[in-house]
Amino acid sequence: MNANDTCKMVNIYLYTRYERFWHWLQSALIIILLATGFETNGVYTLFGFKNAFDVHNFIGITWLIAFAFFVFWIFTTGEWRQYLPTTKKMLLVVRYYLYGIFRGDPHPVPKRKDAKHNPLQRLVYLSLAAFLLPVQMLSGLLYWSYNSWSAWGLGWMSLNVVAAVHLAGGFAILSFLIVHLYMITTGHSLGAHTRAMICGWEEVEAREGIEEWEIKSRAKNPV
Amino acid sequence: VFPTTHMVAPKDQSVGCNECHTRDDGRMAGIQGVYLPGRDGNKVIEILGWAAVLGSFAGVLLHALGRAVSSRRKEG
Repeated sequence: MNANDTCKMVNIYLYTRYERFWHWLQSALIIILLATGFETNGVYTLFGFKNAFDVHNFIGITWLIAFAFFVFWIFTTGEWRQYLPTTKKMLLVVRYYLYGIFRGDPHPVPKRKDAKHNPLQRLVYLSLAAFLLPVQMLSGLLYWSYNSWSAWGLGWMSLNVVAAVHLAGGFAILSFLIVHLYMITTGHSLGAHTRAMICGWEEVEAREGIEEWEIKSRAKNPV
Repeated sequence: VFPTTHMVAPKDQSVGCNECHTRDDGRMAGIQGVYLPGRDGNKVIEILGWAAVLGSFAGVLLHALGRAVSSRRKEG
């Protein structure tokens, strides 16, 4: 083939136990929420409205509580630095997925323990964890507490709008899920990324350490 | 704590949720001016939403096809 074959591969420990647990817990919760949420909206009938509604509410509250642990984890471990957005090498990564990947080129920003997200992933996961998911949780919580709106002084709000925001978020998460499920096949082998999220270890190309821009925040804020 | 019920009594005479929360001509089909989950949706967001979902699906399908073809070409 080409450069790929001559490249030495190393096994690195990328995802800690909690991280993997959180990933799979959240994926299960989100898939259940999508399946029951679209039914509650009336897109199809699968579990019956009452079941879908009950499960959706219960799982939604579960997600809120579990997410609080994730927020605690990401700030206490300093892992939030992995989500700092950057434009450095962004175009190279975009070019890789649009072009280089078909030629078998090496990934321009291979994963490292200290930088496990490439610039594109940083942007996507930051938008997801800091915007899309919180919007979905907040609109869901408001939707759920509709009967208390007037007591809370929120009587001016429109259920129509809250429901629309919540539905739009659902579609956005479903779109993300489709692309995400595909992107996990683009590792060193088809199953490399999935394996890493199950056992923590991933085979990546051995290259020099991470680059300056990937850890610039660390120099300023030592752990 | 936050009841999402309709305070219907007696319990054994209440009707199923889907008698109203449905798109297929439920008991409240003709009543306007209230947003009824399961009956009312948002047409614009639904169209845009499915467009995004199908677009994502088509995108990854094309990309996968491209990878399959290009890897076969390299092997052959």
